[in-house]
Amino acid sequence: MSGVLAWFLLGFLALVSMALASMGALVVGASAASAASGPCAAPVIGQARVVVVVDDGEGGADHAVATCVVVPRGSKGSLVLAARAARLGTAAPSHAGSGLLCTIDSFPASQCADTGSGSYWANFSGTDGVWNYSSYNPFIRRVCDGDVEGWRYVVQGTGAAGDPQPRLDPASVRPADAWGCDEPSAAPASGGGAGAPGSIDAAAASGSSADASPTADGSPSGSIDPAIGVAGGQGRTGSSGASANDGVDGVDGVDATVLATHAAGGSSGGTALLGAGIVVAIIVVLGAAALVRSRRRA
Amino acid sequence: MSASRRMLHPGAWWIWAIALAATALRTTDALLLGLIAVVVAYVVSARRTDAPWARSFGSFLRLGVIVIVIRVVFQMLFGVRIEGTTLFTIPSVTLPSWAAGVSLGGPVTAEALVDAARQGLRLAVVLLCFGAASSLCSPYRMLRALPSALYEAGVAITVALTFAPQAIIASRQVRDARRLRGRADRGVRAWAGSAMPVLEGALDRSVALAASMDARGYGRRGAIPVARRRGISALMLLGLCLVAVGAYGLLDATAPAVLRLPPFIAGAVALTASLMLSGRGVERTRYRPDPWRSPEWIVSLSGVAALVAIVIAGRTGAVLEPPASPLAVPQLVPVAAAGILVALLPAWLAPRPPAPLEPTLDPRFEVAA
Amino acid sequence: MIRFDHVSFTYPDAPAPTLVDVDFTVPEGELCLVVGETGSGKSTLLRAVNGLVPRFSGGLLTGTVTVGGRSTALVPPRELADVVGLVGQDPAAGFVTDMVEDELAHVMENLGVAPDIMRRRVEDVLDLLGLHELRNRPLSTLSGGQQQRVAIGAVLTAGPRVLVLDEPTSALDPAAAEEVLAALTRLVHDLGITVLVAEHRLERVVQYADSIVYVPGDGAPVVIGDPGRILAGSVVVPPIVELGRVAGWSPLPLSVRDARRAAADLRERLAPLTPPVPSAPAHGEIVARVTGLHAGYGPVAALSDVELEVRAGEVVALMGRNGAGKSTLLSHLVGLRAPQRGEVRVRGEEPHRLPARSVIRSVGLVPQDNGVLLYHDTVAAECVAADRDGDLAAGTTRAVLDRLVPGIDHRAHPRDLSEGQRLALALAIVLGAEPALVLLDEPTRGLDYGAKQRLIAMLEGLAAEGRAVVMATHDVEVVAAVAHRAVVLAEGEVVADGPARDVVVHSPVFAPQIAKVLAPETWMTVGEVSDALATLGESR
Repeated sequence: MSGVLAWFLLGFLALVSMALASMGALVVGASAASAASGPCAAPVIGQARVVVVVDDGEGGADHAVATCVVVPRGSKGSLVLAARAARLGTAAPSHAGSGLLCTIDSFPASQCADTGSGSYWANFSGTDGVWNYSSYNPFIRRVCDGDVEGWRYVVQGTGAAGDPQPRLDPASVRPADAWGCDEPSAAPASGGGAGAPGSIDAAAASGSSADASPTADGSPSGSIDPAIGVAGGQGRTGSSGASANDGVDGVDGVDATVLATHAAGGSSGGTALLGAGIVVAIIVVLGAAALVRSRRRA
Repeated sequence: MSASRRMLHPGAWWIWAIALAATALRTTDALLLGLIAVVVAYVVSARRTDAPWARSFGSFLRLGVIVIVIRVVFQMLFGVRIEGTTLFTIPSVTLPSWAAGVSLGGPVTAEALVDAARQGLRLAVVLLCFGAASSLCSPYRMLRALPSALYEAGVAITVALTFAPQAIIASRQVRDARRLRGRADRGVRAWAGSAMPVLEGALDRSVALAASMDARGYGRRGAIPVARRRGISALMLLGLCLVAVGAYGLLDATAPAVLRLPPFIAGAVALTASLMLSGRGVERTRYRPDPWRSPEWIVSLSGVAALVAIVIAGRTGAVLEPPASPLAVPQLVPVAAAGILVALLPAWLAPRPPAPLEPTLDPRFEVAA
Repeated sequence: MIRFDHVSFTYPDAPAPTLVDVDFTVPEGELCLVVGETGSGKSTLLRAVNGLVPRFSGGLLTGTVTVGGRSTALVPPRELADVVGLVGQDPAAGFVTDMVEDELAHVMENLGVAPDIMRRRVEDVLDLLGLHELRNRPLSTLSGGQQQRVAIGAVLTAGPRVLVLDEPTSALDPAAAEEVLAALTRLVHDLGITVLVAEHRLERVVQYADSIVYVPGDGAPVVIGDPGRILAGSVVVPPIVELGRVAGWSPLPLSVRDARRAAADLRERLAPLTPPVPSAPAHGEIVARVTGLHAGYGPVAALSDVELEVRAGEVVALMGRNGAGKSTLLSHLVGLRAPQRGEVRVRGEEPHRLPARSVIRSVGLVPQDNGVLLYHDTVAAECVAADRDGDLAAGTTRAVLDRLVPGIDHRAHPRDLSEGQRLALALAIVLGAEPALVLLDEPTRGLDYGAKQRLIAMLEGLAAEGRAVVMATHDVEVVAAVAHRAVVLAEGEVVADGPARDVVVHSPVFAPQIAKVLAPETWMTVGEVSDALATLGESR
């Protein structure tokens, strides 16, 4: 009896330590999908431009940030947020085991803890020029060029269409030259952003605040903070394309993977590992002691 | 501490175990869950008796491992496809659009597996906590500690408690009997063939037990008039319903405020009143009631300490439910870990259970096979 | 104290009443023995005393049962708990708690006895029944005799004025039975408790009884009276009374002591004769061989280093106290368990390695609770299923059954058969496949004298057919009558192995009544004595 018990205790410990080890091995989000660089400039054959609007619901309307990401055409929606994080150099979005989105840009800090309380990231589609509450899984849908995807953090929401929307007009950020889902077989003779100046602006979302300027020179320290990196203006159509390019270029200059690592690793790095190590040691010692005790008894 | 060997009040162990289970429910952090598991296992190894029920912890461990495995396998087959490092791919079935979001098969990622293992681990640890409580004190002693008004439910509980072990004994007998008749004693057909006799046997024994309990004065009542007894039962039922509604309201964040505290409190009042009214009529005494002394306080409070610590940790922003993706090294939550370690104290501070008499005192007293 | 006033009882759906116009009174302070054949309604009668019949059984009861002045028609059994203590046939089935001490206190808690009185009564009962060493033991670790004593103690603590016991010693070895009976007599003599006890093994109880209630069954009237008077006209009598009849003693002896005083003359008459040597076929082929068998449950060794050989045509009695390892040895012989060490071979094969279908052709076991072998609705269906299980020609099992016990209604439900008939049915199922080795675990449990005689005849028939029979039993009278060889197990070891007569006669525990009466001569059964007397008579 006790022999069997001992083996199961051992198996239990093994499972625990395997879970720990596998996490250690796969430390950093391997999901840093290659974020195609470039703002919502001209459409490119084979690629889709998706404008992602993220609004954490706090502060004023300037917390709604629009970012343009370019992903291979027909990609799954799951790539979009990851590509956005990689592009901005922020922490990758985290998901609970149910697939529920927990954080964007490490917000909220409580991570998945509030998932039963009615607070969540609400998903909207703004492709039609207005925010439509989405009750479909945005991560398995195939993206089309010019899609506008909105995320708004809702505190104590109802989980239905009445929940607050991102505080930014989706029509203002959609590239005007979007092909939608019907990509022409050959590229039209469009040159850069010349065709439609507004089309660039989404990604540009020019930082109207002065904070935007440090990112312009490509310093990584500035890039880590998403709110600063591409601080959300209203994405005014027609604002100067040049400044927008500055901001985006600044982000592009940094290796996205490195940034992701930074964000995930957190600030406390070494001491956290030490603490975890101590707890693992305690688990092993206590487990072994329990095993020995129950063996001796029999 | 070993100076006076005695059984701890079962309530203390149950509070300790339930508090630890509640602690486990608040986190999916593998470090914290692992810590709770070994704390529970160590305390059980240090303070369990040699009685047959005390050996149940091993079964709970087994059950825990099975739970984890099942959870992981289900995640592989039906689970939500979490993006990340794909380990391997299972052939997938595409479901129609109305079932969007439900997936069968598909790529299996490390993120998904680790998360499933963590979820399974949480459930396993909760099971372990209950296993610990039932190995550390006899279920019947817990039953005895119930308020006397609830004693009627005791008949049902006692019969239920003996049902499972007796069904196990009966199924062994029936399996042996099948072999004696030359039938297959393994496989699906053997199980199907033995289900009826097993249930029948266990049922017969349950009726015999109920008769024996009745013959020994179980459920004797004073002279409560029938009408009053019915009134009390109705009050109790009403109270239970209200408490259930209130509990649901409290747990569901979207429930209107009217359905939260008011029904809960009203239900609690109704329940207490019905218990007190019916308890007044029952004339019962308790033989050598388990005392509640300082060890009982230490044990129960040590469990509560773990719960309080993890609640505080959660309030102060510690990540107790790490996201499934991206994968990360588990972060130590020092406050919670320290609280869980406090729950280890009973391994030394609880009194040792009384030693059973040596079976060798008299050759006749050998353990019956 | 107990009054049955023209009581009749019919079970639901039963064609005929079980009890008809039962009318008797048991005065206070008597030990009253209820005797009768199996199925005659003894248990029903006992359970009617505190109203479990009909309240838990269903059925129709007419007349009144009064206990201590209270009618069972007016109060439920639980309100009678302070007057009547009832211990059922299977004490373990009635345990409510899991520790000895809690079990003893349980009834008092229900009655609301004051804590200090409870404490004192538990201590008293622990002493009275010799249970004080067991007080902290879990109930499930107790042996049969211990369980029986705890069950008695558990009703005794309520301070009942009436104690009702259904077959309190049927599962016990002789020594444990003595223990329980000694405790009972002490209760009657010291505390004046009225005891009503049903028992098949009259040889164990009859000497303590003040009166006997004879339940003939078949609707004949129930008789109550002085033991000697009742037994003189009864068909169920202990061997000692039978010996008295054969020897023509009057009054009939009820205890070994009485009989020995009367038997001086008989011993003298028998002195020139020697008891017949049993025709044990010492040279039969070896059917089963056990070498160095070791088995255990956890740290407890159930069997250690057991050596045993069983030859064809031999009846071996396996004896020993409860928990000595008899059942474990049998389950190894039939392959339900694999040996931990050592080897078990039946006809050269290891039974636990064989598939079930081939095992039954070499060895068959009738387990203690033979009901588990039976799962069909009718006797006929059981027989057909047994034929199918063993790939036998249709009708084989039925033919065996008809040979063993003619006249069983094939449409009857196995559960409605008498104990003896059910044993025969189980034996027939096992015998259908013609096993060379037949094992029986406590076959005499619940059998009355008539059924035992039929069992003895069946076993003799099996041995004559050349089968080997191993029977685990506490029943020394059956051993004396049929066994060629007796093997005594203690603590999982073989402590004696030899001709039944040598092993049994000189043991103070296992000696049958006749041997005790006629010692130092080694006569064991009434049959032997009457045969001897007959030859004496012829030779005169």
